[in-house]
Amino acid sequence: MTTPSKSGKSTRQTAPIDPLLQQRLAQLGNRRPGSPLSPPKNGPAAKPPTKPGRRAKPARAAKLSALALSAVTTLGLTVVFADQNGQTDSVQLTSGTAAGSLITVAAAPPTAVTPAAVTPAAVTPAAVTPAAVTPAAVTPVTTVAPAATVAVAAPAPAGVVDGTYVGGSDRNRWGTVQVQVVYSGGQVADVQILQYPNGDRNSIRISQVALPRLVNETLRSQSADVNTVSGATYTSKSYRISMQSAIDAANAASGISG
Amino acid sequence: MWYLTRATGIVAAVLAVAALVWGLFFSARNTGTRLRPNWWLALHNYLGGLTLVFIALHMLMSFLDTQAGLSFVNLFVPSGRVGWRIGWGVLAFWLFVIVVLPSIGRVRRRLPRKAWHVVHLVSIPAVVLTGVHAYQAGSDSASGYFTRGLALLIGIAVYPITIRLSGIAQRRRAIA
Repeated sequence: MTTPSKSGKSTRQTAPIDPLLQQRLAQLGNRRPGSPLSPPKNGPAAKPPTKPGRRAKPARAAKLSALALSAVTTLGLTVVFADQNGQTDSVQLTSGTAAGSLITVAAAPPTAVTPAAVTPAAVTPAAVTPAAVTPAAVTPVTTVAPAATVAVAAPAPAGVVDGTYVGGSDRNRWGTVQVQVVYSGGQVADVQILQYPNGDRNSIRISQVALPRLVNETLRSQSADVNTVSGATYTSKSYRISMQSAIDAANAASGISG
Repeated sequence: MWYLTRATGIVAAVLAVAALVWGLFFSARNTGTRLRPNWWLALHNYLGGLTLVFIALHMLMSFLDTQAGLSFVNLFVPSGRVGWRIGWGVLAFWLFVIVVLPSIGRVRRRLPRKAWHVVHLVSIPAVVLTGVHAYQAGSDSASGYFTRGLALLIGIAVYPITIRLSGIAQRRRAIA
């Protein structure tokens, strides 16, 4: 607090010092250099000194929360991705069956179809016509969906009739995938890729890596139920759809239901 | 394994952005009064370290995933053979290493402050490369969730960068 004096200069008017503070100041003045400070007798008890070498840990709760949140998010996302893949698989299988159900080619007698029909050129909608296959050979051919065509070739002892079956094409973000499956001895003997994403170098490279793996897995598992290839999620999904469609076509042509 | 690879990659990217944002708020002295500066700094350091841990997990999962077709060398050396969409991620990893390692106590004390600061700024291109890697290599980049999430992260990162840059500009004007 300042008050003006007679000479015009202001002088500082000191407030009375708290006796406790006065006592503390005297204690500080009397202490020996290097001696530890003792807490004031009437004042609040000071915190005990922390152990030497022990550091304070700021934001400990926030750090633990960040770690827990990261771990939980990772696990949650993993579960969601796995679940999504499972869901899309079932959708694909349904759509594949639907595509296959369009094909109403009657199973031909084993000796009826000429081997010439089983060529890549012949595997077109036009190939499965009365002109390509003699009317006597194939009993009523009702309709052939352009999505999937069938060229029945040779007899099989049981199960799927040997031949080449073309799956429906499935278009994704990067391009179209269409496969053709060759049955021999009632088993998937070969898979050929008719269309694959090839719009840019990257797509070609991914397809070259992913498709042989998918084909190998199909030959091993004898089904369209193949795992997604890392980095080729879209191509893998489209492959499964087209493959399922081809398998459904083969089953339909062989009179196998379900 | 592929799902874990994707999940750890996404979490690592989010952690990288969080560490960047925390650091930018701290360096801009825009941390408010409720929490002490050492709280911000400690959390920023921790998030940076955690980012590196999740990047390491992401790389480990990619390596263990047999269908990914990545060799041990591919994880550390960017090359056109495996494609630059993976290469950007490898580059981002090395940039994060360059950012985090000099910030470890003993190393930092030996570095001149200006040199450390310049090295620390590498974190911004590292986060950008992470985004490019996620967009090009991520299976989820076509989904709406990914696009919205990426836009949100960009927005979150750009806000403190703008504050920091405007603070620098103001200080320069005041000095001049």
